[in-house]
Amino acid sequence: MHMKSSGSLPYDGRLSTPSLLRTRAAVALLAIGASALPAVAWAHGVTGGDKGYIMETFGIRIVPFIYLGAKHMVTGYDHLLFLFGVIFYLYRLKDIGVYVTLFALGHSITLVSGVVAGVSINAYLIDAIIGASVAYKALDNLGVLAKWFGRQPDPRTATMLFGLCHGLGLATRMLDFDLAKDGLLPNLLAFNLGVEIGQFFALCVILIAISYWRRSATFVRYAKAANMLLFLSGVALVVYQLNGYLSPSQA
Amino acid sequence: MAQSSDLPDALPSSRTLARASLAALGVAALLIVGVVLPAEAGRDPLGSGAVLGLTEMGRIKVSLAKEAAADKAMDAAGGPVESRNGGTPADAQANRWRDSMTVTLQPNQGIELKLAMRKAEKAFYAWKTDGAEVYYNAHGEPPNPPKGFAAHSYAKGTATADKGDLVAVYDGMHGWFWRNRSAKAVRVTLKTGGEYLVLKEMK
Repeated sequence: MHMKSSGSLPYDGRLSTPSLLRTRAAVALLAIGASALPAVAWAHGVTGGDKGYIMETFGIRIVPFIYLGAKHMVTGYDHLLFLFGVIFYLYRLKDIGVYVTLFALGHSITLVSGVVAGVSINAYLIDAIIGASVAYKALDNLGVLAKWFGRQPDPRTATMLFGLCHGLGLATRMLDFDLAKDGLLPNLLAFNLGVEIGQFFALCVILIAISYWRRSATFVRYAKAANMLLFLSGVALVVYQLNGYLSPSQA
Repeated sequence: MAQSSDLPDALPSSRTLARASLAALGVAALLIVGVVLPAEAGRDPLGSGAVLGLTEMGRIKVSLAKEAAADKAMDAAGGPVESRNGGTPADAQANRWRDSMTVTLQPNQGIELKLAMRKAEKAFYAWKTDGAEVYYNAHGEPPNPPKGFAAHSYAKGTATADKGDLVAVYDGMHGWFWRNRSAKAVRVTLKTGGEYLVLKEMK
């Protein structure tokens, strides 16, 4: 492989990562409190964390990629907020199963095909869309959409569509990892499986928490307020991500 | 949505809920000790990390974090000392190798060989290993990079050999970082020629 001349500098985007992390950290605090943050970039050519691990290893690594997929989901508060919105008014396990399957199907399609085809959408833009999905779901739960459109948009279609969007976000993240061609597809499928496993664990915790809450009278009293808060979190995500997209440091 | 299905009898009983909570706590504790600890900190109290292949990930992350901390400390100390007097100026004898260095990388060891170059100087190079693939990261830094400076990256990946030209994007040290992720020692031989002051190992 030949190194590129100064005429076309390959830019690895490392400069923009810290500001993205700061933004995400701020939003995380706002939304659900601080949680583990994804890979951190360092100066001097040392890339740490998950990205550093992926860059310095090669070949098929099924369990590590399952782990990374699950970690991404469990620490991805935007995905979690959306799931929270989706199951907020779902009581029957069967319904939850249907919606979660639709969501999983959607993001599997775009995650795998996006990485294989190398479709990379700007990370800020896709995160803004994911924020919008959170806000949309909150409005849906508040019954506002039915009022605006005269009828309730089909929540199944919406969940599937947003699954496709969330998958593009996951694909962009995977492409950012600079995966080696060697073992790409098995690693990718392992990552996707990990995302499902992480989603399952996250869903269990959300379900248990919301079940406790549903048993108390405060659920009925504050359900509306909770969805308004969810809506505001979604809007905050959109604003932060668009701000990141438009800021000049994002060359 | 689906508010019509708000059936109170769809709520789990306290018994079910308590059981689910306990089970979730147990699973979470097991996952944290058996999976997250090996994968993030390289520590494996249950031995599960080794079985799953996650302890290696944790060890790599820990060593990368240590390296990054060492880099930061070096930044704070004013950067590596550079000798700019040992080299012969690039002359007309363009396509001749000027230097050759062979280094041996123990498993997990990383070594950096760099050329002192002025901006826009063009060097050519070829490196190869004695067999195994190594991780490489070709990058350059100015003499005293500001805090938090991200090195310019020319190329990176895993390979057994690479060759080409390197055009310095600014005055400074430009070259290669290699790391051996295999289980055996690997020898890397680098040959360089063209315009630069000196080739040296960064320590």
